[in-house]
Amino acid sequence: MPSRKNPPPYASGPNHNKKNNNNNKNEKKNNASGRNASVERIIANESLLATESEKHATSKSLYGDPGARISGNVHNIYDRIRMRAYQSILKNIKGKSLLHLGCGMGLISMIAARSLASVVVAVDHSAIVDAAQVVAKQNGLQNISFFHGSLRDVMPQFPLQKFDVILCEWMGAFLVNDSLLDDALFARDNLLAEGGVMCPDGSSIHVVGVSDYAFHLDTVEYWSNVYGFKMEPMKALVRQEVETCSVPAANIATSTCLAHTVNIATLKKSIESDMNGTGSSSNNNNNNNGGEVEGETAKKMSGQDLNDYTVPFSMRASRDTTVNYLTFFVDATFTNPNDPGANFVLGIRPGGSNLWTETSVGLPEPLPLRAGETLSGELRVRVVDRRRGAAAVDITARTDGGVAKVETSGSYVYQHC
Amino acid sequence: MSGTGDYYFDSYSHYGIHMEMLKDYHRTTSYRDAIWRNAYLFKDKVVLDVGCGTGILSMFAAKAGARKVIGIDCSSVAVQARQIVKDNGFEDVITIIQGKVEDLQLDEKVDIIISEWMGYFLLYESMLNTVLYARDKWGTPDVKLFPDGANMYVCGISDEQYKQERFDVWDDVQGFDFSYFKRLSYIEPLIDTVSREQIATNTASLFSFDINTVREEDLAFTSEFTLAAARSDCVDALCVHFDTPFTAGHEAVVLSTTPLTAPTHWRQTVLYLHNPLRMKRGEQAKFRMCCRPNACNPRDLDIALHVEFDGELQSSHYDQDFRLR
Repeated sequence: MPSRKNPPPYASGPNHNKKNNNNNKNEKKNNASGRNASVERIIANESLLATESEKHATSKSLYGDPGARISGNVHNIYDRIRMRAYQSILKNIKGKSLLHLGCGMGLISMIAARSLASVVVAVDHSAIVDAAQVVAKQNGLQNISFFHGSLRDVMPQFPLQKFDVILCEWMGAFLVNDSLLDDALFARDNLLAEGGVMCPDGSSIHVVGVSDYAFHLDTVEYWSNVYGFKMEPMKALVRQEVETCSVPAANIATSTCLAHTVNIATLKKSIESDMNGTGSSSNNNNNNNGGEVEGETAKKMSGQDLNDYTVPFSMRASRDTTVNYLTFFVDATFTNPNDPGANFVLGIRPGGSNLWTETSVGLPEPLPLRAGETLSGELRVRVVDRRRGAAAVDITARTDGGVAKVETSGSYVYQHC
Repeated sequence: MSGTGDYYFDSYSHYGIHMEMLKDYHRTTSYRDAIWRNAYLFKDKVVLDVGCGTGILSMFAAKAGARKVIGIDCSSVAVQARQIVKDNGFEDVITIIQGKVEDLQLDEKVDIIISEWMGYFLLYESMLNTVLYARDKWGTPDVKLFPDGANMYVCGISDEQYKQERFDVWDDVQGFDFSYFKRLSYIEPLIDTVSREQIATNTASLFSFDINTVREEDLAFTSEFTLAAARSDCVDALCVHFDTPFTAGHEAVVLSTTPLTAPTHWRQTVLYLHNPLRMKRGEQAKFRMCCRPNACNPRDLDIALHVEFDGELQSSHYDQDFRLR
């Protein structure tokens, strides 16, 4: 039933000590201090609460725009790790131009504008930017403009066409499957000033072996007997799904293997067709809005494949254990050739809190391992439809035979929400 | 079944939704009990299961002795449902159809319609319209509906901590005034679990209807209710929940989503008041709530609330809009 697809309300972050006890109980009768409140109500109803998609009765409302849910943005306030990382680049932004793709509520963009960036342009697919624009105005920020839509559509309205810094978290759960990557590459090839930087510029995927028999019972074996009925066919659905959830430290049973790294500078150029034959195209070949592709270098032509990588991995068991899940963590790095002091790593902490929630796949056969034994295998990722963040993931994993020689393979599907 | 990524992708169906609903024990057993305790109603009857999902309710009906059960669902989980029905030996009784009820072609009318159509706030994104369509087009004149009633309730709750975390945080974000976001936050009802300790007033009836007779246009409602403070407290929000009685048979069963018992997957719907009401015990506040589908997007619900409170500590008369989306 559709209403179940709603993302659950965001579980509030750590307790926040309020700075200003602003329990303003001086009431305005009848909202009648009137005009301002009602004007804002109209703004609210016309921008944020009536997104483009809603002109079609069949639209999915916020399912298509979960970012417009204010409550979903609360956690950005608490996101100190990310903030601190970007501070390093923001403190040198004075006099430079910034393009922020996927700006969300626009907090980082506003900090840049406040730090006297010459121009800040912030873009997001979500209607939340309409609200961000109001906030920017209310806070007297002059040098910032927000755009709601896809980069190629709104680009002609930008106050300038070359940027010193392009901020974009283009990395997906499997590095190359995020829809923002198309925009990031397009921006890299068309909107980056001479000597400008993309931030973050690198991202790696790390693999960890996880032992969690209870989760397997709970999600797979559950279907053996549901109120007295057998629902075996559901097991295949569970097995092929990539789970997105936090993994408790106690279940992490191996070392961490950095399996693959992608750098935005060396990915192939953005107008490459990036479909491998399934479904719709996720890359509008841009010929219609004056975005001339110039400065293409041979290096970019022969860069890393955008849609497909196969990499080996190997970890060592940290105890006698049986690994039945592999879990993937994604990090992000920024290396600034002009200002090494601004480098940062948005790192991973298996078992701790992470910037992006880790993803896991269940192994068809559990792998029994002795402490110190090597778990090895291959990971293949193919982008199926980048607009939906969809990827096909194939895994092979094997033991070294310390307990028993086992090799297992599985195919999985990942897509956003 | 081939194992190519393409096949998997086409058949993709998020199992989590179905697991959440099935693991909602109160929800599933309410349907089961309503059907099995009234099995005599099902004997040799034709049953339609609207939005059958994994086919669980269809199998309950088949086990209760139905002659024929049609389960219809527009999502691809129908593929799994068809196999599940077969695996449990009901293929001669249960037919699973993947498609829309509007396109359904049957060769006889149905005696019973079972459906779990309820959404958050009962009506949000619910399948009730589809159930009413099925009732009118395919039901016999005395078709039995499971459930056949629906009641919404409202009470006032205090929620200081949440208010701080969700609303007041916007007052100052890294030195910026994001209070506009705070204003917008009030428009968004919250779907969450309310604990019984938070309840600060009596519970009033908000809206009720009889599924045997209700029409789609009746579902836009205006309701007036009064809440009296059960203790001296600040009423920060209104909490809405619902129940659906099954009274078609001789033994009644009620599926309830009240905050007084263990939470269901519907939890409760919380509407935060712009101006919380500081009420002394026994004081009363009057409310008028209008609820209708949004004009542009009928899947969304517009909720308009009028608050009238004259108490010892404050007087508040104001209007507030919500949108469930």
